[in-house]
Amino acid sequence: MDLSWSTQERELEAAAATLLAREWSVADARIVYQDTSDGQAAARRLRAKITEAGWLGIAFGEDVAGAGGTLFDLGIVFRQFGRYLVPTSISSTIAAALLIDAFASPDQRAEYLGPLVRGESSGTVALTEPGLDSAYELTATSAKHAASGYEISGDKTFVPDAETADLTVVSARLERGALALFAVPKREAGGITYEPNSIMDRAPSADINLSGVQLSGSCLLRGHEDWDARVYLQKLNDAMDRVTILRCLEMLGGAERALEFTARHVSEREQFGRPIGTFQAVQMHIADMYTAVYSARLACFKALTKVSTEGSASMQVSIAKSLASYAADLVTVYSHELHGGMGIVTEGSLFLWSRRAKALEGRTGRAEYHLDRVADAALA
Amino acid sequence: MRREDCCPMVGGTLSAVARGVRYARCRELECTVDWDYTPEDQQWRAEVRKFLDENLTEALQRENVEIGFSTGPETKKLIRKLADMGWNALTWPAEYGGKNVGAVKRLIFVEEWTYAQAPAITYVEITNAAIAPVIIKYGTPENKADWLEPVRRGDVIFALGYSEPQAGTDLAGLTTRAVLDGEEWVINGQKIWNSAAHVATHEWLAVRTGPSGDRHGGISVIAVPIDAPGVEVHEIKTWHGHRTNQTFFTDVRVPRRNLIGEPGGGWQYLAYALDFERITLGGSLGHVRRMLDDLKAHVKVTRLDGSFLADQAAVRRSIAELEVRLEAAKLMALDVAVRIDKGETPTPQGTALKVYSSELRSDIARYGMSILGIAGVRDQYDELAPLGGILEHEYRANPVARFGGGTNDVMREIVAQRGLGLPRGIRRLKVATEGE
Repeated sequence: MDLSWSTQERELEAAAATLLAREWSVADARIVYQDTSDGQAAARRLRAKITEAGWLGIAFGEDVAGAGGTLFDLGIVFRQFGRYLVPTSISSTIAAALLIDAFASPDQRAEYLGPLVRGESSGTVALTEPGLDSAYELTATSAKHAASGYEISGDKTFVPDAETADLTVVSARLERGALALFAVPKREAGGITYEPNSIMDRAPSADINLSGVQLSGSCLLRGHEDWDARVYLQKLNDAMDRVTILRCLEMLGGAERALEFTARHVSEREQFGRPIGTFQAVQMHIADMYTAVYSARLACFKALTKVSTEGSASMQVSIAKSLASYAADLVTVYSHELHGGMGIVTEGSLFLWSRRAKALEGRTGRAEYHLDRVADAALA
Repeated sequence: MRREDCCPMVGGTLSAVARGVRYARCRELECTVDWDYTPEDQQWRAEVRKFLDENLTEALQRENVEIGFSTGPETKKLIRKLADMGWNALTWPAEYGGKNVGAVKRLIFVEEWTYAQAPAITYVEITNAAIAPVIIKYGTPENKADWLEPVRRGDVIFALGYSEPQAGTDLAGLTTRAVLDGEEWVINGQKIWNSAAHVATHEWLAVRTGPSGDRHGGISVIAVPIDAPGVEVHEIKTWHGHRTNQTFFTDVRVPRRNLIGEPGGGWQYLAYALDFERITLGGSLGHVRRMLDDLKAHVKVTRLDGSFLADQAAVRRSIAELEVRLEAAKLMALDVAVRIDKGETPTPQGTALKVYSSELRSDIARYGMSILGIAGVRDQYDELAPLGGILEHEYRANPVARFGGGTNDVMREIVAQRGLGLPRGIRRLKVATEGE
């Protein structure tokens, strides 16, 4: 057993941190929060830098100009995304790319995945629906055969970066009942309307209504021809586990950063003539935060390793998600308590991490869903 | 990808990477973190299991149920067998007759032993795996000659003589004193919570040999035979059936050479031993896994209020939460062991593990008893107690896990100070940890 990283992995982490420290300040994160149009311009500038660094292509094949690296490496970068509050458009694009990667034919890889990996277009994923969070087998959006190829109708909810994404991966039920994914290019698709959400981290997000959206037959992401409906669903769950574990790493990075600056705050802030960090009650809070983050870090990297090397590790992903959500919530709640008034004013910055932590908790599936998966395995 | 594209990522070229050299990865450089036990570790686990299967006889278990940890004939046989196999000296260097195994293998050993609910482990483990390493690291040549072989043979078992009525968590307040008289130390004072004193052969006794003003520097450790004249052991009963003791020392005389290491070095030795003890306590996850496994097996076959417990949503949630937390504890234990094997002293991590796993134990008892309802409060002596009363017993025994080896309240301060650099408190926090 060896839990240490290679030199390459350490260097990647350092490089990611260095680039983000230089290119994405708290002030930038604040603009995204305060003003969407300026925020989107800032996010586009950052995306250009991230594209240049090759991070969009880390986990994708060389056939689409990716680096042929591992999901593990991408996870290292996502942890830094969490530390620096990188705009959601980057992770939305990578999420779309991961789904396409799992289901696309060679032609579709060239057409859809290539531009995402090269930073030429942005993407997002639309799987959730009214009444559907993670049980994709219950998808209600329908896809009918039409003259163009397919016609899709239905409602999708909480689609991150919905209005700016050039390509949206949409799940729908085919006429014979089987679940399928479609790559829906914005330029082709009429019949989509957007209802923006206002969600906790103020990141762009919208419910979308697809009303008879006409798609060419080549938009259907069929996966391997041998896959039956059961396998297809399994592959979708596996692919979404990859997205989930990356977002868990992002949550972890945010919790680690918040804990670091809270530890510094209580060591410096004085009351009653001494740093408040000398008080036992404060130290006990800090210790519980440390332990929550420590266990979440181990569980996230274990799940990331398993998903990266074995492809499927639902139990490990659910455990990591549970511990990461717990840590992110505990750290931000205690951090607010320990910062007092300075933790809640918008002049400070703690709230930016708190908002993101809760948004990520929501975007990684409900705790109940994940605990159910754990219970299924534990009580099998 | 061409080979040379990879080079910027390889070895000492951080600045180039940081300047914005594109991410590039050689295909053969897959991720290198390995979360699985090696085949060698797994083989070791199987070996320990086999030993336990063969040696945990009914007679042995009965002897221990009837009289607690015992020096009865069955227990003595077991300890002798451990000695013959070298398992009393697992972590010791080969030159002292040890097996020289690392922390990961020791973790596996403790895990399996506690999972099997095998008796005798705690005291024997503490002597072998917490005290013996102190003698090996700090002992004089005489100390090594006097104690290591008898410990290895199972002929010497130490009771930890640390706490006193006025010196518990604030151990440096201890007042039991040893005064040199010619070639002998003369000891006067008393110890409390002296758990193994009625079954051990010797006290691992923390005493004051220096001036009382020197709280930490004046402490020494002396090995004291419990059958020496002037030693009196008085039983203290506890609500979970565990026997502990108050022990009095009146003009007890022991040879000068029984002082371990250097006079005044005691604080450092206690700290070193306590670090090991905490890791043993925190790493006793086999017991936790056993409780959860037994609970899972029980809810699958037990119907209550119209359905199997395992099909009830609230029960499933409780079980899943415990499963998640047990995995967290196991990962921390493994990480701590791996760090020790690399030569680190992972004090904040090991301390966090001790707090976390001791509190997980109490939650398994709490959630479990809640799931079982009124049947859950049958105590371990009721032969119809579900899970053989293991959860009920844990509920009563658990406070010891929370304060033993350093109370969790102070452990949290250590985590905050060592783990995240928080300032020291009002009092000088010198609760035994290494590296003070």
